[in-house]
Amino acid sequence: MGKNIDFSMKVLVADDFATMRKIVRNILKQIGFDDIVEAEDGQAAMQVLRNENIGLVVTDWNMPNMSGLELLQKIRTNPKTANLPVLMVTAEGLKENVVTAVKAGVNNYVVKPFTAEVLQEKLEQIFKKLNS
Amino acid sequence: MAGKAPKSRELIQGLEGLALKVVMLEEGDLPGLGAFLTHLEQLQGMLDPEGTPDVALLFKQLEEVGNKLILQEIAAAAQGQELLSQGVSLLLTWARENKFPTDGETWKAYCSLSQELGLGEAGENSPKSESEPEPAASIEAQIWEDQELTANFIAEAREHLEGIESGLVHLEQFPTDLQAINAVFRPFHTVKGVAGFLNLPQIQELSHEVESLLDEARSGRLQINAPIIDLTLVGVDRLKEMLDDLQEALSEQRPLQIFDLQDIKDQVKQLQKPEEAPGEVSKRQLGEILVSQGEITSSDLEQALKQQKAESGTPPLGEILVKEGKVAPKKVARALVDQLTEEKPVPETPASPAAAEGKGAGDAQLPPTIKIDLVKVDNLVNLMGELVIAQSQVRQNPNLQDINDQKLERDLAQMSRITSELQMISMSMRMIPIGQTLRKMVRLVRDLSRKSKKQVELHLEGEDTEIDRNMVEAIYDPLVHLVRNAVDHGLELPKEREAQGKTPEGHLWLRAYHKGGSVVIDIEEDGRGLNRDRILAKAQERGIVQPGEQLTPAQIDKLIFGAGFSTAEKITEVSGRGVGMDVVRLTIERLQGKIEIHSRPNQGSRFTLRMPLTLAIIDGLVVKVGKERYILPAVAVRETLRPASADYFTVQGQGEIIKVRSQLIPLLRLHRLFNTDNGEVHPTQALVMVVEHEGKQQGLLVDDILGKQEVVIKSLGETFQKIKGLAGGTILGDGRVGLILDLAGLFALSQA
Repeated sequence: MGKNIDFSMKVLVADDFATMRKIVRNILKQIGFDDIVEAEDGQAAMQVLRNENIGLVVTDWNMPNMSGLELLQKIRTNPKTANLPVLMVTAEGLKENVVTAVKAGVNNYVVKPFTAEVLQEKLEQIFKKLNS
Repeated sequence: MAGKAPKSRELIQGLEGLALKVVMLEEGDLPGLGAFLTHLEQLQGMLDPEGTPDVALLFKQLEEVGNKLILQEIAAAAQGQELLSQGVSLLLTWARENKFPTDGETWKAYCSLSQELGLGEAGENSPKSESEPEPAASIEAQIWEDQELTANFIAEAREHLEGIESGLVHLEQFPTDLQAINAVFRPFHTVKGVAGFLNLPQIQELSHEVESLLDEARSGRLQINAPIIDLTLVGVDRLKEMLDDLQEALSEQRPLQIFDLQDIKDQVKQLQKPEEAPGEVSKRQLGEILVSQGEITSSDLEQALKQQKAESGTPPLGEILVKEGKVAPKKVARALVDQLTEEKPVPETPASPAAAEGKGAGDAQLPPTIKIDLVKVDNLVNLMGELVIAQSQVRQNPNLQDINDQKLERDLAQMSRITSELQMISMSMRMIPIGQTLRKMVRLVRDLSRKSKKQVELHLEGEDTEIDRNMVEAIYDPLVHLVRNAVDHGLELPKEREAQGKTPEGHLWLRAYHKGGSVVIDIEEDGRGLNRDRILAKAQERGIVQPGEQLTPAQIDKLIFGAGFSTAEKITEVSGRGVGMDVVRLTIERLQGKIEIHSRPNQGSRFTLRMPLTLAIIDGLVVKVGKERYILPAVAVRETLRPASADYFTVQGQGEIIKVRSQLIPLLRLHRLFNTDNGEVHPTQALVMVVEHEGKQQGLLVDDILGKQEVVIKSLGETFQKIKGLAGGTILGDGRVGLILDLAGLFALSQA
């Protein structure tokens, strides 16, 4: 369990819906993360990224102000965060989004609603690849 | 082809890079796939559009495979990757040898693998892999693992649904505004997502239905129209009902109600159908394309289709046609490319990808916020009021005033500045923008205009204007009533308007702004204006106005605020609910506010509500009566005077009266009413405050005015609740209690 994941890292959860942030936070805690910060849209997420040492971003795709795609593009174009793992949270049925996100450099995606096991598997995939 | 050699070199290098990416691919390697697709896209841009159709087709297929791998639609991912590598190697051979290898081993392997994975003639025989996996969790198994989370969800979902209605009305006018579509789409999308986690299948299902409908519009496959908006509104209402039910169920620990969603589902399906058909078949059938290009005749097509059905395994149509010699393989390939590249019939949407992702200039940038329990804020505001008072008690302490110390003076001044600023801030915490309330009218106006068959254009102004949260709730009903009246009685039918030389659509303005310490809300329309003849006739009929009495137009207009006054000739569905304007006026006055009307025949009417910023503080005049001090709401005071003895009478049966500019006003002695000692006994020695309430005037006899002051209203507690004439108490600057007078009660007392 979790051989590739460093659970001490700080995780940023971006979602415009507070309840959703809480749910994702709970699931991340279940997996073993402890240090979790939240942002209610892409802009707030950028602010957090500037000020804190974030090891993983879990972001919703459809957010006001700055969408997940814009956030991802900003993360990838900034040399400091270019390799930061980003996991996209999306809803089933929005395929174009997923393909766009992957092309823009998202590391993986999960479809709502997801379980702790699914999220862990995706994160394992991400970090296994990054660590290799 | 030889002439294209230089370009090919670039292409070859590019394809080599692509091949490398494919080799490096691992299973489930999304970033790798993403890089592959991006690279593929770049190379595609380098292709000669007039070049080999087979190559273009191959590119399309590789893209499709890449997408499917990302979406996990290919069960055997390894096979998908194998296909990618074969495809890329085919492309490499083509680029290096300048000839498309339709006979080599690789080609054969590629073709069979692509058949196996259900690619081939995309759209014709590829199995549609996706059917919405709707979770069918049973409603009985309702367990809310986290009640707090569910409660949060209810509140948040409601908040998000609030914005939808105004968004929809905006969409009705600008059906192609992608940002607006997205703003309406997003709440359903989010609610659905969270409901999935919280195991709320009904909410999930409903929001999914509406979401999928709006998604069609978002992606341009469906044009927003009135039925879609109507259905979405029905969805909003139903969703709100479900949230209400959920809340109740949560507090009562009972199972959820079962809602029938079939009607909505059916309607969604129906709305999706007519336009989805061309959308789905936007990839036209291959045969159709060939016929339209004149490569085959329709009878050829029919025959081939028959054959296709007859043969086992339904071979691709193109294959049959080629085998029958009806058409050259190249033509089929060409048509396949056409089929894939054909544009989807996007209904004139100036879609920009950025807008589709919804970066929303419409979503104003808001500073970060936190949510605080309202009770805490109320407590804070109350305590701040106390602090202000305590602070002024210290300042007015007589012992302190004897000390002549500049430093102390400065420090005290500093302290009072800080406290009053603190008070302002704590008050402002309870202030919220009025926009939400105004936006609720958007839906109302839309429904009203539908019902009354009038066209109404609603203009909202000053949505950011802040008002006390408690006030917001209190003005909602009067506002609804005024808006109803404006649409129902004020505005005319389109035909009537045109006959008047007006635009067929009526205009309704809702304006909110701050003016002199109060919030002003205008409700203005450009309709027919008040019918003064009818108002006057009605007033005379009811005996409110004596025949022959001369009234100015403004006075006539004011009559509509009289009790039980309604001129509507018939009760309509819209506003004839037996509630007159007097109820509106009473509500507003109860809130310490005022209502005015300005009307001009055929140009429209404007109602102006003037409300205090908050209900917790009133602007009061502190008056002295004997040893006691009372506070009068300043808004109610018309004038203050010391009557000459000639203007003071006692009338049999009516008590004391004073004459103010030929008007007779009953006089009420506060010292007598409250039984205080040492009051000024004679009116000519004292002061008369003329106050107005519900259109009636009354003189109040007091000793003196001590000053004007903002006072924090405190309840007198339950014991003294029933005392007539007192609205509450407050602590004055010197620490003593002052009682706030309740005019309604005083008037009742003076009449008794």
